Amino acid sequence: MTPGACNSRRLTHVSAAATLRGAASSSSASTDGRASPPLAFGTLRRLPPAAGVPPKVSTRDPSGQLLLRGQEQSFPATLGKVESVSLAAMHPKRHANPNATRPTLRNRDMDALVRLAWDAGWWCERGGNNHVKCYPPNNSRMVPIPSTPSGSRTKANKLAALRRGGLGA
Amino acid sequence: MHPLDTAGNDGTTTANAVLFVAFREPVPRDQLEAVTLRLQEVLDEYAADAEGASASANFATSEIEIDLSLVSDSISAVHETIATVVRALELHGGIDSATLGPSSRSATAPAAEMTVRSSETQLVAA
Repeated sequence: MTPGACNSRRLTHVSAAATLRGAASSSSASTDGRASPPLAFGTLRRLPPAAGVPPKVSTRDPSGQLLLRGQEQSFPATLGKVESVSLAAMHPKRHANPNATRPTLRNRDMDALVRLAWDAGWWCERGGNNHVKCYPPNNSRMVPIPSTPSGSRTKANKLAALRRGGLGA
Repeated sequence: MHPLDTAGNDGTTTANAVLFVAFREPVPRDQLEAVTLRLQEVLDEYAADAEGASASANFATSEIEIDLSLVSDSISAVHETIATVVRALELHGGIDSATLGPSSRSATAPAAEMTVRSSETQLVAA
């Protein structure tokens, strides 16, 4: 057994134990009146979905409009706080490359700007001179984000440029 | 002193300004991108008074927009800083007088001249 598999197994056992404790404490409050049989320690059991986890497929865009069949966008349940982006508000290159990932920057502030734009449906690609070029969904602008800020107000100025391009509108 | 002359509680004035750099002739997208990156380099190197100045391209209007976030003692000092930035763009960015350099200009593109078409300055309350 590989070390990774061992760790995975151990974590599964911990989860199962936690489930066992939860089942024991809530057995009296079972809706069907039947108490679930106790599980032996180490029994693998599929965990129930946690409360508050959003559905994996969103059928509405952020404005609340119903999306057409085939336009639904799935997203991981772990990213429940990230709302699905309407496909109509995405850059054409995002449509053409659905598996593309955004470029990352080492600087935390500049990387946050790129992530903000990418989450809003912008297209971001590396340009020359250590810049990431960001294009809004309507492709009407180009905002270069440097890999390192040139001053203390770089983030504010870049954010102003991104907002004029429709970010957060 | 005018009441608007000091917007911040600490006696400083904070303002956001946007400079609109326009071309006298239409330019293709790739050329507008190249000039935008070049002006960004000029701002980083020569516009120390307006640190963090940001250049971005607007393809719809074929303009380059330069965002400035300025903190000075007074409104007049804010505009002096803006004038310093424009001066740096004139000297090193090829604005108003020089054409684009051969390295950033394609063979078929015309020699484009740039000018600061307009500017907007907005006082920000602290």
